[in-house]
Amino acid sequence: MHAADTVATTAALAWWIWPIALFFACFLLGVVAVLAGIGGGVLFVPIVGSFFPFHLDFVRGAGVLLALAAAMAAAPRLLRDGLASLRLAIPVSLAGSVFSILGALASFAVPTRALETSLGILILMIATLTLFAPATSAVARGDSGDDWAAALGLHGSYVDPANGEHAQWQARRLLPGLIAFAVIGFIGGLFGLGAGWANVPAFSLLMGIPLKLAAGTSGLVISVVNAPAAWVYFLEGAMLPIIVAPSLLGVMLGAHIGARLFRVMPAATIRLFVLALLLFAGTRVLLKGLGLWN
Amino acid sequence: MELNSDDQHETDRAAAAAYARCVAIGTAIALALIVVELIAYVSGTLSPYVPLRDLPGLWSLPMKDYLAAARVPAGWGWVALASKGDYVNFIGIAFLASITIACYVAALRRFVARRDRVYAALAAAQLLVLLAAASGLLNSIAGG
Repeated sequence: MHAADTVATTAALAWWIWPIALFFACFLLGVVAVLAGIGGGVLFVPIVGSFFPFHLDFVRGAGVLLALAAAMAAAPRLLRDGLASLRLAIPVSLAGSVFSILGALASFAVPTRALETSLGILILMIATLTLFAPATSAVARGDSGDDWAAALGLHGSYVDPANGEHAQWQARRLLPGLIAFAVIGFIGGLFGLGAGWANVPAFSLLMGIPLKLAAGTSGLVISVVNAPAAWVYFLEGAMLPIIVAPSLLGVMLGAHIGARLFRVMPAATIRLFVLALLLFAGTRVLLKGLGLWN
Repeated sequence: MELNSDDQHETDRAAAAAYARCVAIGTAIALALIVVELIAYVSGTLSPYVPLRDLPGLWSLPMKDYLAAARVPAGWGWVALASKGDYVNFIGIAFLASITIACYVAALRRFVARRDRVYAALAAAQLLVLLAAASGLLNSIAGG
């Protein structure tokens, strides 16, 4: 089927079918994103961009906002429980947000096909990263912090809720960390993704932050870094309420249910399911970008 | 000035508590706004600027083509249309995107009160970045 035929077919359907389908798709994405421990934004953009009739510009706009809202919904609890550090989030978020603006602005100058192709490659890389990511119990190597991290007081302690033990942390490699978050911010802004998939390894493997604190602070960072990118998309005109609102509500409701199912669902099965989803959506959007599957 | 460990711990706790409270309240209000506005939009309580039945022919267009075809404004031009069913939704979206600004103001106050100058400067710089993005100035510069 040609692209023009697809547009004609989707245009002929009643308008209300798509927002309802979007709500239910996003509800499922919200559930599996929580169960798999990855952000909803990284699933939303390739899946909705591939299987719904909306242009990628509007899907990316909704994706930025969706990642922002999901991160904000989780942030208060993480901060109160001490599982996210505002002190750690502030400097890396500043680097990330400057570059997320640049990524968002640059995205409107890139042809859609090129954006789809590079998004497909990125999603396939994320799927590979997910496949080979360390188990959640992995511990980052934490040698002594550097002078820059010490000057900012990037150290502290938190109580691990799994075993009730007090754990100390001290950041290292702050400058490479800032560069990493700048790059992640740019990619997030460019594609309208949340960046939990990259933030956690940057915190954990690069800066030596314990994995639980890295995961919690990553959400806090997304809630800061995606805010200026959201403004850029919003003021550029890349947000359609009929896409944004059902997506937000579906993902938020799904995440709420996902959190309740967290203890009873087999995490390994869900992880495999999400991996398959990422591989399929990544391949689809890549082929779409290459003009091989419209 | 470098804070000692106890001072830093207290500063962090105060700033994190203020930030968490702000995010929790802001997100709840934003989501409530988005639900109410969506209902007003799709139920037809407020008539939309772009008719709902026209959307399937428009949402697959690139953003710039959509703006031209639907004759809708970019930037802050939406405010003039905020009484329309579709554009009333932008109030909730703008509110959601503004929450981080308010939360950084709350955290900045705690850093200033506790004389944590480095973090006060970092929070102030982040606020400038957020305000620059929200002003639309960056879109205008990039768009030439």
